[in-house]
Amino acid sequence: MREIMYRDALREAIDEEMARNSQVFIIGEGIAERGGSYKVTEGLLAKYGSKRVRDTPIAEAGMIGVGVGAAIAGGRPIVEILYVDFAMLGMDMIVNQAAKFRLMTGGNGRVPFVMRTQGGTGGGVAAQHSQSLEALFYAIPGLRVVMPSTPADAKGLLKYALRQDDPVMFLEHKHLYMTKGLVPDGEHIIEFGKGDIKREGKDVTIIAWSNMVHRALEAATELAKQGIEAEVIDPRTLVPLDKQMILKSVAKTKRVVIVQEACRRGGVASDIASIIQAEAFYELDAPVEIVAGLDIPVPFNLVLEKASVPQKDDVVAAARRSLHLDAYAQAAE
Amino acid sequence: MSDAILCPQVGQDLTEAKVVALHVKLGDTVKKGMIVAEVESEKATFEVEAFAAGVVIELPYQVGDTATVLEPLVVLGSDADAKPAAKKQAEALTKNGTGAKQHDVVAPARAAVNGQGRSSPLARRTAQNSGLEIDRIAGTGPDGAVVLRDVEALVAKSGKSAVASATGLNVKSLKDGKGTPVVFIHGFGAEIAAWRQIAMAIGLPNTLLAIDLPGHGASPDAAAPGFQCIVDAVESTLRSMGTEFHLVGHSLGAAIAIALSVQNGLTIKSLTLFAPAGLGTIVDGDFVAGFLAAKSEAALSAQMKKLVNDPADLPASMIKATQAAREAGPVAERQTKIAAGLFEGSTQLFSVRAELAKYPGPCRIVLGQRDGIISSSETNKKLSPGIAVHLLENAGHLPFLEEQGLSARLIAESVRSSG
Amino acid sequence: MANTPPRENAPPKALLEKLFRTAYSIRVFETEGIKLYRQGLIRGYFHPYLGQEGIATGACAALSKGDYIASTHRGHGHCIAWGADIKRMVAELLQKETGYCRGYGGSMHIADITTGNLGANGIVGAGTPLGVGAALAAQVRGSDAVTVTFTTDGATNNGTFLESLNLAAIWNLNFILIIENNQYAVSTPIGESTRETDLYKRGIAIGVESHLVDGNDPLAVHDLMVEAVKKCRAGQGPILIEARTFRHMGHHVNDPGKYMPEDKLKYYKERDPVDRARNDFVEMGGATAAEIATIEKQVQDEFEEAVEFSKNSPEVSVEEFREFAAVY
Repeated sequence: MREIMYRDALREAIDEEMARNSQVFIIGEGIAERGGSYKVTEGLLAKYGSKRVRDTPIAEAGMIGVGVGAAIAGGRPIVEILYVDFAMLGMDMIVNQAAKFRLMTGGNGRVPFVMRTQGGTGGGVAAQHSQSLEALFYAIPGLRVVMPSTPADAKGLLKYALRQDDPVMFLEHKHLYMTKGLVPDGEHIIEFGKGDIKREGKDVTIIAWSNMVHRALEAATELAKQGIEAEVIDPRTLVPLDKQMILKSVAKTKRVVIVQEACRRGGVASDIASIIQAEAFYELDAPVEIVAGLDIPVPFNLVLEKASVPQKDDVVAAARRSLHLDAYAQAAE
Repeated sequence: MSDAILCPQVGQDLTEAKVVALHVKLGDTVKKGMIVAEVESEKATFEVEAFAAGVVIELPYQVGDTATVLEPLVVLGSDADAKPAAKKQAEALTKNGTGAKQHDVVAPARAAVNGQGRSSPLARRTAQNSGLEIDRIAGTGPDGAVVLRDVEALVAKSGKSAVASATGLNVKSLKDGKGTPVVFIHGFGAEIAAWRQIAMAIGLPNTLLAIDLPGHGASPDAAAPGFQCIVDAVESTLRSMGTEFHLVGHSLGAAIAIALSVQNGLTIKSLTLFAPAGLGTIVDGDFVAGFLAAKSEAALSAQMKKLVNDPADLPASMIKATQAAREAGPVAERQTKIAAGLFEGSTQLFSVRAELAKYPGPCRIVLGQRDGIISSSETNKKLSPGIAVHLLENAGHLPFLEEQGLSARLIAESVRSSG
Repeated sequence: MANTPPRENAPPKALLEKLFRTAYSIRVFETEGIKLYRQGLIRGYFHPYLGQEGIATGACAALSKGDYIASTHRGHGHCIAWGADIKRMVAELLQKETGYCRGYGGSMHIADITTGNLGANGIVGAGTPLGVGAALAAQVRGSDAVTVTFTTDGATNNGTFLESLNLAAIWNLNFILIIENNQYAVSTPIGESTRETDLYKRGIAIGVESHLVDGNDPLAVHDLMVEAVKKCRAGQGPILIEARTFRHMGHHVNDPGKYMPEDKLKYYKERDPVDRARNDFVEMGGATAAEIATIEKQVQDEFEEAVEFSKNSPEVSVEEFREFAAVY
């Protein structure tokens, strides 16, 4: 085990897979000479040359489309899109091409295309550079949606993404690139659809992904001081979703809080809540709590930005509600 | 032979078109490629070309009529009574590619919501299983809703069983332990108590649980007659407790264990089956009838002795408990109804042979050679070679009582062999 | 028209025969396909290639095994010219399990990646970035394969036209983009969609070698493509070709195309690409009437066999479909 940064873990994954498979290549804005805005691709140009590490013009629809075409024709492209917000320019290529090709060819054609991008709030980059858009991709059958929260998960999942054959929306978080974590030495691969229990507990299940896993863990520490043992589950991939892990945890704790940075309306949290109510209704001792971003574009002002997405205290309060603790306090008065 | 020229498909969503011209009349001879009519859709006028040849024998529409798309516009043939064939062809064409069955709607088999007061789903379920009325429990949740802790507090006070199960089947712990639980499922007419003795003889660290079948012991009545309904009830009870189990079953309970061993969503790590039903067709119908009809302890004792080879092996407490249960409630009536769904005379109405053949895990079958209720030789026929069969020379239908030490060891071996 | 290279020697008879057979096959497929549509045997969308046969016919004849093509919503002609099995094409249109896409794709999505056919496409303009991507994958692989995307005049006003052709240019990809200029974007004439109706000029603006060719002349398209392919393999790609043509009917089977001026339609029908291929075969290749009749009969028989094959093919399985759904 070594302690490295999220961005270094991503670079290791790309580097190892490029060394392993000559069909893997990466294109993106400023990723070659400059090494990418988040330094994920630093050093790869020197190692693998300009054929496999290419800068592109600012043309997201073209880049994504070219990536999809290359994948259909047997390549293993990684297309880096600077912000998930910019991926909206390439939505036709993602939604109508990449996601559909396997079915439209009766299962004969595959699209091993990986789009790496990042989302979320972080330091006042305002409404067009702060969104959490996983729900858009989640709603399109045919796409895999991956949202790693730690360096180890980032590495293991990206390596797996480059070995499987379906289009992957690999959604990193801008706040996480400089965070550190332990990453196993040697070959480290994480299959899609396998969640991870980031903290074990028996009283309430907190489900979170990407940066919100860290908010959930902070909340769990706070709850522990109050004598409440929260279990924190990170599904790691939203599609496919580790439903069994979630249902098993709910059966144990009987209470659930789902935390997402994306806005509340039409979110992945709502869908997970609907799965839980349908498949574990009689296990529930309280309504499923959702802690989510406000249904509003993210503002620039840093105080307002913070107010627009879930904070630790919001998660703690939701967990206490689900345990009927605050209601109990009122009744005792 | 007849043929039809259909009102052409002139749009993806259009189902009708107006006939604006008919270039043929009855009796005309039509050649392939002729323009026989013109129809008008929302968008434009289309000429209708003949893709077949023949004599016009029917014109279902006149100029000005609205024709249905892909229904015959001109019927061709040589004799007048060919129309049904043409119509049939048109139907076949329009139905092309829509063969998908409608999804079956499965009504949820859940009890109606209890009372007017608010309560959590888990609190309601736990209360029901513990025989408590949710309406009478004081709630401490939001706006006085009854939540789990309220039910648990009352259960603790009243000393009722707090083992929760979704379908209300009674589950008791025979021994607390760790790891994958071993669940015991009794046979027809029995109850959890049947396992008490052997449970004490089993040297395993695992939790040992026993379940009362619907209509037996402390469980509610079966929701409907039939084997599958009982399996479903046991399945959902198990699901409410976890996903991984070892199963030990006797007779009917063994058949249920086999049925559960290949259910999706449950992982059955091992099977130990005593005198399993469902692998043959014969059952002693006289015993079933006599056992159910017995009113006195003496009659019950005479019937139950048929279960064992040596009557001394049948504990008197078992007969007494059965009699006491019958006096306390409508047990015999319930079980008579259940029996009607399982047996007809001396025939078993259910079979789990196919399921047993599919089960991949370790499986032991213990049979009494002197079993008078089912036929051990019939059961023992054509079993997969992977199944260990122990045929006990001096045992009847209750080998786990008659050869308790050996049976306990075999259960422990099955559990351990699953790794 | 401009840029058609003059031919020094008479073309080989085998080439002329191939061009005629292909163009005629497309003509039969579309004409007979429309009849199947009118009878309700074909459902959904159907965009006939009638009148444009010369382009796919000429272009594909200049390509080799290992190359790639990407097509449009009007894609039957490209598939046939690329050598697709008529049986599996008809079966696909009849929603059968034996179709190219097992009945899951339909007219607008026939693809066969095993032969390098990246597929027709229901989104106007989408084939261009996909084709550039295939060319990019080939370059990364170190292959000299050429990718041809057939696109439409309507797609040239879509952003991906510039974005992806520009990527092909900065990376010198083995990519040929053929704009089939049939002069209508659905029903909007080209002059209303753009001020510069010479579409090949758009390539010049971003440094891409660009040509204009008569799309109704299969031989001219072929000869220009032979040169273009040669240049690509020599590392001088990409190349843009505008092939001018005209539809024989509206945008799809249910569009009578009343907005297409009759005189213009007459002009192009008199320059029919299938007639042109037949005449070339007779005049330059010395084909006899009997040879022509034999080929036409073979093509017609092949289509009829394909219809029989498709009618007798198994229906798709809803159970298998449900299993397939599990991967999503």
